[in-house]
Amino acid sequence: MAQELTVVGKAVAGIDATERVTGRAAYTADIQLPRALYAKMLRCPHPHARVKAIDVSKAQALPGVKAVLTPRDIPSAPLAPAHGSRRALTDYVTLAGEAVAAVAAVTPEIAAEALKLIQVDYETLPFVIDAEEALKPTAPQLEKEGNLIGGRPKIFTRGDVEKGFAEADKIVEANYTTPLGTGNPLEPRAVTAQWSQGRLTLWLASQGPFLAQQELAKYLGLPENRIRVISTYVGGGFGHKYSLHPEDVVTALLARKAGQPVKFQMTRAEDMYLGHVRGAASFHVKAGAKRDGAITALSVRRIVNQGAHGASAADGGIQSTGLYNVPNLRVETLQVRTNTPDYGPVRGVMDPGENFAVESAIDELAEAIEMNPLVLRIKNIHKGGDPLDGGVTLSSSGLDECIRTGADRIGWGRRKPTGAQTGAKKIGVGMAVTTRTGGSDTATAIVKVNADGSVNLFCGATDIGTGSRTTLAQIAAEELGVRYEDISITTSDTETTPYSRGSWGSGVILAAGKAVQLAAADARRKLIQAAAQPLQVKPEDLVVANGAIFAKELPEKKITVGQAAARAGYTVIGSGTAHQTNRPTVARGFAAHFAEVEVDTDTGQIRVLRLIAAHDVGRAIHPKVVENQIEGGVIQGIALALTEELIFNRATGRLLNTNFVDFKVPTIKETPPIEVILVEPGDPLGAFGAKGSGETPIQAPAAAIANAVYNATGKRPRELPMTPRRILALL
Amino acid sequence: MDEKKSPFIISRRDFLKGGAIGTAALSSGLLLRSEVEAQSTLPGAKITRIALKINGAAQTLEIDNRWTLLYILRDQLGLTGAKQGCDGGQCGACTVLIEGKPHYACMVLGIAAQGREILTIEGLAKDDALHPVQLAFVEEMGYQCAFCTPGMILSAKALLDRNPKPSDTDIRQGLAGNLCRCAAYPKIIRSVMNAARRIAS
Repeated sequence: MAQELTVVGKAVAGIDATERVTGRAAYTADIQLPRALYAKMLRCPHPHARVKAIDVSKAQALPGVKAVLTPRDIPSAPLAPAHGSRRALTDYVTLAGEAVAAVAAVTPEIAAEALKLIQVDYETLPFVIDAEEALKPTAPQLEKEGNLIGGRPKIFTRGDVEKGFAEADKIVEANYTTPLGTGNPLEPRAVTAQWSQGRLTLWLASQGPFLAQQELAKYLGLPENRIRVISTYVGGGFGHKYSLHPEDVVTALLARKAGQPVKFQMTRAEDMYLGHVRGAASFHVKAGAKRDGAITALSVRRIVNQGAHGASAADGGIQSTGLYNVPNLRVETLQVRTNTPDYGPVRGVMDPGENFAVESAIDELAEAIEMNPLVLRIKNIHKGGDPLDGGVTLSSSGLDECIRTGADRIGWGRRKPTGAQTGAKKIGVGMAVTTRTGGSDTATAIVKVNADGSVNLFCGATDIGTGSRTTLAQIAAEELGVRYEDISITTSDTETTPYSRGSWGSGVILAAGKAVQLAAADARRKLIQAAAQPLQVKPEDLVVANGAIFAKELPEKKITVGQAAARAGYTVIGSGTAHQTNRPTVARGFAAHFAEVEVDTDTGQIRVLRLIAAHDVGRAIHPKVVENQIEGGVIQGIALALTEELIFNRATGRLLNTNFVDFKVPTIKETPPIEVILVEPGDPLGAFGAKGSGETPIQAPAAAIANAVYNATGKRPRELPMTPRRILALL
Repeated sequence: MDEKKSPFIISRRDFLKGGAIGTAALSSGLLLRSEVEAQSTLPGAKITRIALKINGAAQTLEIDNRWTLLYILRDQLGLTGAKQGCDGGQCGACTVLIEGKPHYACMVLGIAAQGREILTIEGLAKDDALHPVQLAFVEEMGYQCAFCTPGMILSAKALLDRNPKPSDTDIRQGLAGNLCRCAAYPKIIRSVMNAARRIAS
């Protein structure tokens, strides 16, 4: 990077901004096809039931109904790994809301009426909501294996945890719980399916059209080239739109049966729990340290409510294993089946909850050894180049700088002693640090240079609101040596763009970003080859900048990129593939959050006065894109801390608050002042040093706020969300 | 959210309430069945011809009395800029301006909009020249997934029309009825400040 960067690092206008602010951006439900039918699902109201008999004859006879499906009419295989054993339509229901039949009709109203004409005879069965209840031998067993997935706990160890606790001067131990939650993107999941000559086109609100294509191909027994999945504009993901979903295949099968296109959109209530949710979990944390601040042992026992179908996506939290250099460690995980929604990918997955538990425990441990919690963290965090579990090395870390700059900004040194304040309203300051692996993904990109110097970029990664379309165009322009305005980008269409695994796990910038950089470099080499002969300059002496190819020493000796492309055949294609999987080094994003809160000890209300979010993002390709990710993630993290919780009616096994009023989503009024600090040490793996930053922001606010509440009140919250009721009980 | 209500518009909720009281004797599933009958032109269908002015153009439409303005805009007129996020007056993604005031299109019946002037996001830019509020959202990147953006921009326009110099609190109050789940709120607040400056200059 000897050359000065001209596009990377600049706050260019979003490449699709005009579409987005004019309403022209077409999301899945905006796709209008002639003769399209409306689909609806018949959902079982019981959390555990068998379908003894189902009669769809009256529904089929209703004028305007074009197709009806029951479990008999669809493949018997489970849908996709992210849904465990779940079937698209089922006659054995383990989750209230699972679909037992589906219809497609000419209007939404006729489809709704048809559902009412379907007669289902259910045998209702006893159900269980809580994971700890489900582990008891008397609990209803959901599957033959029992309710403990895999039949036994999963255990990860490092060193000798008992020896580590024996060496400790102080040990802290406590239990932390986190609730059932939901990603809840504003655009409900939606799908439109159309068959033509044995080929299926699916417009799908998806974070990963290629994964959906693969899973659909397997499910339907079709080759991938007969299935086209298009996810151009997606209205938020947060994990919810990972993988194929039951309604996606049912809509495709309805369209095949009806011989007409079919569209489906989840209602808000359906969408809030019938995709991937964040399962309730408890974390029993025990941590020990010497007086000098060396953490000698950490033990975490996680009991995870995995929901009805035993999907295993929640296995991956790395806050216990990945934040600190702890020589002796034990993590035990019990993943438990219950009659509740399926725990799947949700922004940060297990890490926000686990971070709350571990970072609360670290705060408590610091107090036990009478050390500043900031100092304890700095002493124990991983540094760039550190060996990690699995024989890999950490590529880089700017966490130390995040902690120091964040502390400076909040005025950490002026923090008041814990519990020292009188009066009803108490102010406290707390911190937490976090990390996340990003980019265990593969992606390919193609750059096409046209004879007029304009460039098409093709990349499979979906822009779910992360700004990746803009960021990837910036990387292409910078690497190729053309203007940002010369780039046009096509994304997330399995027929016209190359493979990209998907927009999740903070992985797009590292995988797709690197693929775009490699593709642009490939095209640049070809352009230089084509320019060498007319310019009479050796290729190694030529550079490309601002749309022109010229000799390094003789800038007036030049041709345009377009002229070079014309000489090379009117089209120059560059391609690049980035494998960021199974590499000896691993890139992780890091963050340190500092919260200042006011606790009203009369009402139990917590008000976040200020939140400082210092993030190591490697390099910010577009500062506003990255700030948006961090600010939005922090606000979602504050909501996890204070308000968001899906609540069951324990008598019926159904959820009570599947709407935006009773499930407390933050509004613009609840947005506290958030100060983002970008730490940019650069990372060797990513394009121009960038690494992922989509998930770290949501992971640390809860612990930072909880630690601030402790600093204010001397009482430590151990349950999320920290509602007024819980805080009053605590005080 | 008070300003989303206006006395001369019958809300969908009020309409459903009134309808349910008037016909409760017939059957519990009556409302839904009536909608189907109307669409299938079975007995009981009530079709009304209404005139609307949408984005400056006069439109005459035959509508089922129970259609919402959102359904009419999206499924009958192809104006899909207004989004359906909840279909229950909770999220604001379907916000349009009726006589200059923001309303949730999912909560307004087509018949109640008879004769009204409606502005949707498609009508805000004039001859491809973006409105200052749109320019401000582009410059400040006041969006992420942008599913809320059409409604957010229209609420912001209405706010600036009645209060050209809003404070931070005014902006939060004026946009409190529009959810952004990505929580691009800090940049949305900056966008509205930016738009106010653009309009003033």
